[in-house]
Amino acid sequence: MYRHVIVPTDGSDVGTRAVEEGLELARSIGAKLTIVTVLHHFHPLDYSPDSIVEALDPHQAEIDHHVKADDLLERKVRASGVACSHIRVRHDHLCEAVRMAAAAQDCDLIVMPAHVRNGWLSGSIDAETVRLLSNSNVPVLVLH
Amino acid sequence: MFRHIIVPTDGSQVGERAVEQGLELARANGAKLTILTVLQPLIIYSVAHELVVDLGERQHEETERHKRDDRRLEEMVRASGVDCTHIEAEDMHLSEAVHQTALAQGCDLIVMPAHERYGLLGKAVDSETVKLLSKSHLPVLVLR
Repeated sequence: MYRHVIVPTDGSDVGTRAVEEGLELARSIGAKLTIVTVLHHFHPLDYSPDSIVEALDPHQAEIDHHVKADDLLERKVRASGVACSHIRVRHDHLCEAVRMAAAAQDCDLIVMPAHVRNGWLSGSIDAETVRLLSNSNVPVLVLH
Repeated sequence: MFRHIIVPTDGSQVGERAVEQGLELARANGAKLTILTVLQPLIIYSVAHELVVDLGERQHEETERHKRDDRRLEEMVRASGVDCTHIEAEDMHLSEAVHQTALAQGCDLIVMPAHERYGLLGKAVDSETVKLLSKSHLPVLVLR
């Protein structure tokens, strides 16, 4: 079966749930798990000159949030007893980041979080996931 | 983890490989497996009128081929020892057939065969898979 499962998270609730499912799956099939926390780059040009100082603060807040979410994850991983490694990368596209990490770590299954869209896109699947499905060389488990 | 897995096949080699993987996953999880063979209905207007005379013979050949495929599948299932049911459905769209059957049978994971498309834009994920991902509220494992 699968030997090495990889699951990306962006620190959101949806990402954390995906990690939990990834852990459960890895345990049930006796596989290793790699968690990739993907942080966005900070783009200074997205901000106007007078708001960039304030913008830096929320960015720091985002990092703090990630550190806290990571602590929680690591406790869950320890409790589950699954062999697990955790990497952090900076990338603007989750799908690209996880695809590269999967290739580098020699993973044979990607677990993708279910980023549910609201509004008029509610019926459609996340574009990042479709891109990953087209580009990936390994099977992808898309959660819901 | 998963209790009831469903895997569609259209009798092709790709479909058969998906069934193999579904069986393996079901065994690892101690889950039930439902194999869904989806046949395309014969649409009379899509056949050139010169060919209509051969239709009976063609239909016969198709049925024979399917019987052979089914026998092979049943052997695979018996060898694996997984609790398995086999359903046949007729639908123009694989995604719709799988979605409806998964709902009716109470499945909790769909395993999709790796039907890849190659073309001008390079490798792309099968549109039936994308449709299924948008429709279904179940996790979908997309194979390669």
